[in-house]
Amino acid sequence: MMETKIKKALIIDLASQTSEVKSFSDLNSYVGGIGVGLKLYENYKECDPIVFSVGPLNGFFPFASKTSVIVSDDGVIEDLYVGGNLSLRIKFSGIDAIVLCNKSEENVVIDITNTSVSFKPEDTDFNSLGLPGKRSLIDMSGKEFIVQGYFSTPENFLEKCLLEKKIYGMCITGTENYKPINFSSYEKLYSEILNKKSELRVEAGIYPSCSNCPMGCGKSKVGEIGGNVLIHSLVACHFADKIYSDIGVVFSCLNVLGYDYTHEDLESLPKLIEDTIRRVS
Amino acid sequence: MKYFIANWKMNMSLEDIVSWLEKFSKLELKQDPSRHIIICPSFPHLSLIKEVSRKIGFEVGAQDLSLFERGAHTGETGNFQLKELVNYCIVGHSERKESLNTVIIKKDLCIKTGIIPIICFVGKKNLTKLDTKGAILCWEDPNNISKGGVYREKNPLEIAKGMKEIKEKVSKGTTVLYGGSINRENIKSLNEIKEIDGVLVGNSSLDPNHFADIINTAI
Repeated sequence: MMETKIKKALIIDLASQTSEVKSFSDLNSYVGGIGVGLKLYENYKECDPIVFSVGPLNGFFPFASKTSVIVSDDGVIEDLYVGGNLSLRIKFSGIDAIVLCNKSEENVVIDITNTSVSFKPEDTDFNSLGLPGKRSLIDMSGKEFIVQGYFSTPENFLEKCLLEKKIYGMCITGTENYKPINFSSYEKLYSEILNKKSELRVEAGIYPSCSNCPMGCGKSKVGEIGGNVLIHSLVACHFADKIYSDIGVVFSCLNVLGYDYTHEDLESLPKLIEDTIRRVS
Repeated sequence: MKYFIANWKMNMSLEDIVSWLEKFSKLELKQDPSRHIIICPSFPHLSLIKEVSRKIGFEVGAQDLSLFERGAHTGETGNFQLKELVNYCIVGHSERKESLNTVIIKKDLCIKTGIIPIICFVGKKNLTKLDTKGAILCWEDPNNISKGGVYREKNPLEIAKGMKEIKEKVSKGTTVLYGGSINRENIKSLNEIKEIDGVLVGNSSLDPNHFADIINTAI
């Protein structure tokens, strides 16, 4: 059963090579993505964290395909959005966020399977990690952040921060299964949204697609920078802004998955995010 | 209306911007998470605006981009450079007096990079050539553009008629903005025109109070 009242984060302490899963009931009002990422950044600010987070729709609806990353670039908080299958695997690890705290002593590759974490040496054979078909591989061996050998980030902040923490790669395997509470309504809504392909701001292409997106547009190769807070709290694709800035569609999606957010919750989201970023900056 | 685009043109110094940001950040805006407030400063100020955009709650756009992709083009700013700073770029503003071909090339460069072009047009005859999947269109209504500081007001019924004609010509679902002397006085009547998805605000966006009034009236 999927948690809809709390947010779960996998907290990884690189210095002590330990990890734990923590539940946060106070994070629910932040919805997901940038909101949850920023609040977790604030909570763990002393540990110089990098926060990967997903939103409530990731893994369940088309074009809700990105992963939010919050990182500090010399004191300036940046939010980036990465494509590929990373969001799907984080979601099906049973968590909403991964928080990388402190700094490893040795170069390290992090292998996450659901919520269990192991730390491997830098020269680990990447293909030996995780479960093929259920994993998302982040390769840093070329000093560039590459997901699934293709998707990268728009700027080099993330690479810089990961290398400072001596992280040379990550593998996230997620094998959990969740069934939406009202499956037939979910299925209907899924099809309706999938049929809104014409409302996307991209044409279909022949490039690798992000998870839950059939477009193969090629535009997500380099990820995204900050934009609309609702889109980036759901961690939907920026090019699906017409679909996921329609409050009616958003509520339908949240509702069918069992979330009970109100209009007030969504309306207060921009202020909540602005206030949080002001505090952490 | 969902889109509120501030086109600062070549009006703001660094000092002006700092003061604008300070004032705007203290103003109470009606909350609407689906709204897009996009600030388009001059190139030298893009970095600063991007850095504070999250804190103040807006997105960033450029006012133009180079016709060329990369290379020896002194003074130009290319699509690949803008991609790191902006999600939107104004293309073909009437003040730039660019040919249709130039606008089409720039629009295509934006689309290629994943920047959403805000394509300005005055006449409606080339609309089908500009209407591209992923783009935002903005009608710079020739009968309602301020010239030499003189504001020319147009009857909202005529604007509604013009917008309806445009919506009938472009693909279904295309985002179309209105850009003609937007101010706190006329925004209420413009907001009643359902074909208008947002506004491109010039002069009135230079004053943070005025721009906030426009946003608050339209939501």
